[in-house]
Amino acid sequence: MTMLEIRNLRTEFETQRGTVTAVNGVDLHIDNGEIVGLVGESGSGKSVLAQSVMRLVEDPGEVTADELLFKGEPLLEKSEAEMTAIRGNEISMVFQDPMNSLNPTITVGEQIAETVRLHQDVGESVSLSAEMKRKIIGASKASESWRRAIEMLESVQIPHPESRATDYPHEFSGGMRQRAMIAIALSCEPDLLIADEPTTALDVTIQAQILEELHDILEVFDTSILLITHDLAVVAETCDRVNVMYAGEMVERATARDLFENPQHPYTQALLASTPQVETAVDELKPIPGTVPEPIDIPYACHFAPRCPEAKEECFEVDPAFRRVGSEGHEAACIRREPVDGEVIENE
Amino acid sequence: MKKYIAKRVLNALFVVWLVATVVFFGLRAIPGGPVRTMLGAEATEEAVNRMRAELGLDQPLYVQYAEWMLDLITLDLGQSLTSGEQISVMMASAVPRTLSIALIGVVVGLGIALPTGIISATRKGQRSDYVATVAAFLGLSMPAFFIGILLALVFGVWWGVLPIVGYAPLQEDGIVEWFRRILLPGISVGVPYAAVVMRMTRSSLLEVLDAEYMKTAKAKGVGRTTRLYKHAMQNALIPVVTVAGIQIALVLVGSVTVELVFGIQGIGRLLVDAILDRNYPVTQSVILLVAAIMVFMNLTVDIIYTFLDPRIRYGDEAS
Repeated sequence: MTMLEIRNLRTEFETQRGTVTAVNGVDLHIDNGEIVGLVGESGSGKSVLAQSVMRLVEDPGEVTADELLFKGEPLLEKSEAEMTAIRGNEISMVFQDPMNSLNPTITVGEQIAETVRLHQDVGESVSLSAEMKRKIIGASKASESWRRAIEMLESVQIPHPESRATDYPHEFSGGMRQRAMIAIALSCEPDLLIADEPTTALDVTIQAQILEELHDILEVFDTSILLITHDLAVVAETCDRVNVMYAGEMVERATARDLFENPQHPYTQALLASTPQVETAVDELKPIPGTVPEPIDIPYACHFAPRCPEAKEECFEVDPAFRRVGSEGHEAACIRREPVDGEVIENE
Repeated sequence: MKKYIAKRVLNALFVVWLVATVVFFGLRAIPGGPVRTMLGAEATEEAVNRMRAELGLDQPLYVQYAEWMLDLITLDLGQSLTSGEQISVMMASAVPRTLSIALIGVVVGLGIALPTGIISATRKGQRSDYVATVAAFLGLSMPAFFIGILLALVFGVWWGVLPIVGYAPLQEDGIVEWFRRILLPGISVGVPYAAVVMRMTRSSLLEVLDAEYMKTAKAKGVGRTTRLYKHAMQNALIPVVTVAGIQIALVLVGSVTVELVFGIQGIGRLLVDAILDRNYPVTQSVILLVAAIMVFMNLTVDIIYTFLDPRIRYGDEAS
């Protein structure tokens, strides 16, 4: 069954210099229980896409889509109140920087318990006055939500969860904070977890632990995960399927295995060539020349064309449609790749 | 915490002593002395010397300083050079007046500043933000005594709803009369204070609203008002408390001139007269008191910090 179905999603910001199209007509599909990767350089629009799904994009951002279906329901048609009920409950998010994503003035336990109270029937008021009372005189340690918070800390491997729950975020290490973030995100057993670069700010050893945790979560909570990263190694290790994004557009999608064994889009190939690999030692890494264009009125059809070693004149003029370039489900948006079944997929 | 406070109190005493010393010698460096001021330019040398001896001003400076310090330790502020009145009595009458004005000023100031700051930040770029910003700059650019004159003109002269001269002691005339008398001076010193605190509240809250953890709160499904008051406010208030504490000095400074406008014999009035008369002991006592108030305010601010910011723990709290 489909957990998330995105078709032709656009996120635009009206600025003084023109319209910034951070996400430009993107399709994405996540099945139940899948871990789907979203890969791209900084500035490719990955995070904006994730925040668009949860409708977290602030003014002047504008999200439109032909379809933005979560479990079959159109998220763009929901009221803000309905979205508030979904956020943290059915869809939740882990952010990149655990140093800044937890509130420094609220105990870790309360930050988890709050989410539980908001979305689960634990018989505790979440009115403003009740929440302020908790903030000022402290939350009850005997409450169901607090008990759940400790349970969650335990399940993300925080030692001594009872006493650590009363700690403030600054008393946690970076890795522990990210675990606490994961605990918040999972406290209501969401159907979809969006992890926005969850390991980027962490040490490599901690990274591995966090990724392992994400794996375990999938089994225990039966949660689908959208894993956003610029780290291809993380994708290879974790994801079932991968989407590659460049300058606001999808350029290639495939299973993780296909993508690494048989990358087709020139951008994906260049990205892999610029990534160090342990198995096949290369003398020199090849950086991709140039930078991601600013997403204001990009004048050429294929956004990668100016940096592409294979670009010809028509690349700048003809919109690249997706085509099958390998085994079932392996598609790339590049007119220089012949479709293996002779068909071009119309995406708009 | 107790150890910390004890340390801070000792520190505060040192600062107050330092201020006292600087004021003592500084005052005597100003040309002109109390005797010449009192007796006038035509007084004979003999009369001047006699008076200097009477007042103890003929003794070497270090002796005068030592005597004053000894008096201070026994909490004896001495007497006014001009009237011979006990300074403690003068202060007992003046201090409640100034503190009343300052109290109203701070209450009015915070009462205006916090709500407008919050409205301004949460509606950034909208009309209410612009109105609040313009009002704040107006408040900032008008000195307290000028606001006092305007208020006296409007409420006292045109509308005649509030008295514009004098003070009514709380114990004698009751709270209503007391309040009526200090409301206008209080507002006068409160407006510039409100403007400063409001701007700080706005910018601090804007910064916090933009923080990653506010996005986390939204992604958790926390509603808008709870996000503002439970998640943002405490973080935003940390710098506001600093400014609100330090700017109490602004209120006290404003009070000096505002007391003149409203004919209230507070410490501001006392200080101005004392300086003009070169009335050394009175000047020293008043400045000492103001310094003590400021040091105390700073200490209070630092203690409030520990409640607002869990990252700040002073000294010996073992946990």
